[in-house]
Amino acid sequence: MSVESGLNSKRNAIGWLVMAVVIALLGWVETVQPMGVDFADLTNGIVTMDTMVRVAILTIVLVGLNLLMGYAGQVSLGHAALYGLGAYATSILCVRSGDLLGVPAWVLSSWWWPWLVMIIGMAFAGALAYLVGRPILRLQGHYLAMATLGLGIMIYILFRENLGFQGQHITGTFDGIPGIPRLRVGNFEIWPISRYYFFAWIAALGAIAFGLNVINSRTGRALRAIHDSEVAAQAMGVDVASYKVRIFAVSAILASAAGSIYAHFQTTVSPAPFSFVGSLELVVMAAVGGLSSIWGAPFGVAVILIIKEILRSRLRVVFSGASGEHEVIFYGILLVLIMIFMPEGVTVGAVRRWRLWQRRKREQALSPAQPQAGVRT
Amino acid sequence: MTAKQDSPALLSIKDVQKVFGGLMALNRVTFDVRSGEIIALIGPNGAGKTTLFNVITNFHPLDGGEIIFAGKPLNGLRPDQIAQQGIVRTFQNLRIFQNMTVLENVMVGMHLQGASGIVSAALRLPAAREEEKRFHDIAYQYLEMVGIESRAHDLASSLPFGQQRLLEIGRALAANPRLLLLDEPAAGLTRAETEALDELICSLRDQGLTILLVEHDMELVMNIADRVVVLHYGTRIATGTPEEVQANPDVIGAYLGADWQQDKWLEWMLEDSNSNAEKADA
Amino acid sequence: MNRSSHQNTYQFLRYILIFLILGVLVVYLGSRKNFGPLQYAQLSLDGLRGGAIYALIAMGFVIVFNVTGIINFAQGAFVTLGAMFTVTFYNLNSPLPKGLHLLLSVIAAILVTTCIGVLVERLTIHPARKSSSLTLIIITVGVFITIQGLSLLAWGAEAHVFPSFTTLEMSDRVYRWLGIVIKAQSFWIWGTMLLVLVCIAYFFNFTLLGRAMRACAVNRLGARLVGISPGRMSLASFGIAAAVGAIGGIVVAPIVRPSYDMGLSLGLKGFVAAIMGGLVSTPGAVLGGLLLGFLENVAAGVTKAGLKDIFAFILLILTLLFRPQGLLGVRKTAIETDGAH
Repeated sequence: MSVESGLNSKRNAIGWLVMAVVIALLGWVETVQPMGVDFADLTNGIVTMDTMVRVAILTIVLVGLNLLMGYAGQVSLGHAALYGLGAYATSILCVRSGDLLGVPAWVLSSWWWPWLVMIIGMAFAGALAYLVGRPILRLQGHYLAMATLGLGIMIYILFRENLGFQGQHITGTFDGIPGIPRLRVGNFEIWPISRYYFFAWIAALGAIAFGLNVINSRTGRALRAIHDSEVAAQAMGVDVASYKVRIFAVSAILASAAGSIYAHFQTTVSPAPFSFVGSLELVVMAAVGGLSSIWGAPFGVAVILIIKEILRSRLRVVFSGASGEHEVIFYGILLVLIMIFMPEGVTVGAVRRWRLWQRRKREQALSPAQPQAGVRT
Repeated sequence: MTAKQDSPALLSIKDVQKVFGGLMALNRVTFDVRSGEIIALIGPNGAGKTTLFNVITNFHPLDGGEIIFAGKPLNGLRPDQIAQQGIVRTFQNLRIFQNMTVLENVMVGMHLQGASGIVSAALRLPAAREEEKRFHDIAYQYLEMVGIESRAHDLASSLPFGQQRLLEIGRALAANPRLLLLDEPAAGLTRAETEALDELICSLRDQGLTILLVEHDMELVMNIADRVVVLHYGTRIATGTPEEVQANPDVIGAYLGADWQQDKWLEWMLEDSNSNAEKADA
Repeated sequence: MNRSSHQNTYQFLRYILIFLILGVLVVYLGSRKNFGPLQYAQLSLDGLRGGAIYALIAMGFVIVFNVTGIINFAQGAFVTLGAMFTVTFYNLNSPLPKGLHLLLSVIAAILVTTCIGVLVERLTIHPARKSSSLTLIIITVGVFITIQGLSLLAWGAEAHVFPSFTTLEMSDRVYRWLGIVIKAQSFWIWGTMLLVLVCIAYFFNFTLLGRAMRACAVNRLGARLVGISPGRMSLASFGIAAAVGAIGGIVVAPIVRPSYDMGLSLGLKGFVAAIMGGLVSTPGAVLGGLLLGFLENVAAGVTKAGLKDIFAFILLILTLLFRPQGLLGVRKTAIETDGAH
């Protein structure tokens, strides 16, 4: 897997600004709807503002996953559970903590409590990742894959089961926890959806900036070195295990933050998105966008969400029956194809192939009469 | 190139043993590396030279004996901690970072020189930015030192083999070592490249660096080594100046086979070098 | 004076100590439920039955890993396919007597699954054989979920029924002995596990292909130099792993009511068993499987049955913490595993 090298921070900065402007523009169009135009119309009902918010939220998760998979070279097959930790932390502490923990009502209804809860969730996820990661990442080989798979399933089971505590429910079955409040800053409520769109994208762009800054730093180089040759990195003084754990914790923190933002968006949290299938979806998104590409994160998310939407609404006629787990076939095939043919991700892979094709065309144009001496790429 | 007999031992290898299954790869190897010396570690293939490097840098744990560096035992330190102590190595089969640029490779070598972490990097704090600039400039200087600064922004994998070797040395130098372990630095180099390497290593020694190198290229060894240590089947069979070791019958036997003295042709071949050695000692 | 072999023994003893501590915990919890030796014996026996299945699945992991260095996440899918194909074939109308019909269905299912295993290797692993292990892991994950999704499509979401091998009816014969209840299918399971173990051992030690595969596992380049094709060895290992996985699924099917997603949980536990045994040897896989089955069932018995899956993962984490090379494995250093460059 090739890692984007020679990243010029100026190029990144420009790219980031362009993206920010485009997002802002799209948001403005949707809100103001000049001449009655809006997303849903433009894309035949497939892309709505709702979709865009989800893209933003999952981008935050993906940035963390990219740092872990593309740079530290570790697989996480349970990341959806970490995402769910944030969501459930928000739900439980915002909705049920009055009964459970005796948090006073004035705190619960204050505007700053959900924000504090978000931070608590991030801290908890980070600590969990650190505790689990430290012993496992000291080992050579891909044990983290299995450990995260197991951890993810365990956490999902905990979400799903009716756990009780002194007669009160903590988590709540398949139906989940309803009644999560909207986010507010003082008296300014971050709702309706157009406001949330900007909020979510500010967070997403912040995550992207975070990722880009980390990569182009001493830490990022250490991670890339670990990816290329752990032994050589160690010989240069890089504490490999420690870096891997730290980046795993960072990815958990980002996932949890995204989960909290998701909870405030949905106002009801149920266990379904945080299962193994959810973790797989994240891996597929990462693969599509490019495992080592921070820029690929929003792209990968967008592609998969759009395809999901198309599959669900348009091709329902083919897959009659079970609840939508059929999309896993598609994920599986896509994953396999991408990893075989374009492991750097669809964006980088497509660009690479396009450049090769262009070069071949140029070569042919320069010397049309000469036989191609079997130069195959 | 006189041996600095009065300098203290920088690295002390004492009775070091390493066993792999049934094979004793290192058998009570003992020798010292004195500050400011260039020591060449030679021996036929499989003698345990790279294994010794791996044991010094703790990529393989010791099975017996101890290794003392600047007065402190290295027992139990992780490889990255050993690098922090000042022992830096290169690898026999190059392990450069293929997917990073040449300059970035050297900047990783400087890892221990920096302190910025995830948070300061993410927030682009001024301290981190300054450190980045400093790294950039100093890494460039190291590239100039080994002569590949013209390829600074190329992908490391695109370099020809000889330059990749130089890159690995440059990267190791960037880690500011007190003791540099070079594992067959001349392997695969052309004659011209080897001579340039020769000069580079000597200039490093002149700047105060202590160097322990594993090498098969005898000309290089004879030219630059202050002392030579010979390993054979994991055992140290000789130590001394290059000339002493060259004439040592055990060493010759190790390379040519223990029956060498019965081989008439060999006898004739070695007559010359033996008489040369005698003249040198006289 | 071998320092590292001392350390090795130390670590092994520490690992065993963990199990003893867990055993004490279990006994304590069991006493609160008034468990007597009878209950423990029942739990153990049932656990060993599950463990034998894990052992079979673990053998598949070990074989692929040893020959190719890949952790084959798709192993669980072979388990599902074995069971589901047998159900399909058995439900075909046939004039043959039931026993023979079942036998033929089983054989056909194993053959079909083996072919699918070979197909998977050729289509997905072989083209990516030069990729990093990270890529290969993701590929096998992709294969697994594809097969699971296709299983859903083919067989629907509901659980199917499978006849017991002994009675050829849906209800199994049970034996009672000293107050313990044993299903007749258990003997089929243990017997099959032993038979497979013996056959695999014979195969790897006394046949040319088996020896060639072992050579490939030990030194890929060296094997090539003597004319062994790593590609063919990889193919063979996937085929064998698929067959063994299928057998595991088939032999447990009368007990667990096969469905399209049975492979996920079983595959995972099979992997945990392989890690506990050491990922290097088939006897280790068996040991790991039996140990895992026994421990998780007893632990679930003294606490809550729904938590059984969690115990498997707790054991995984404990193993990775205290003895990552497993019971029979060998600890590898960084410089030995960092081979991909």
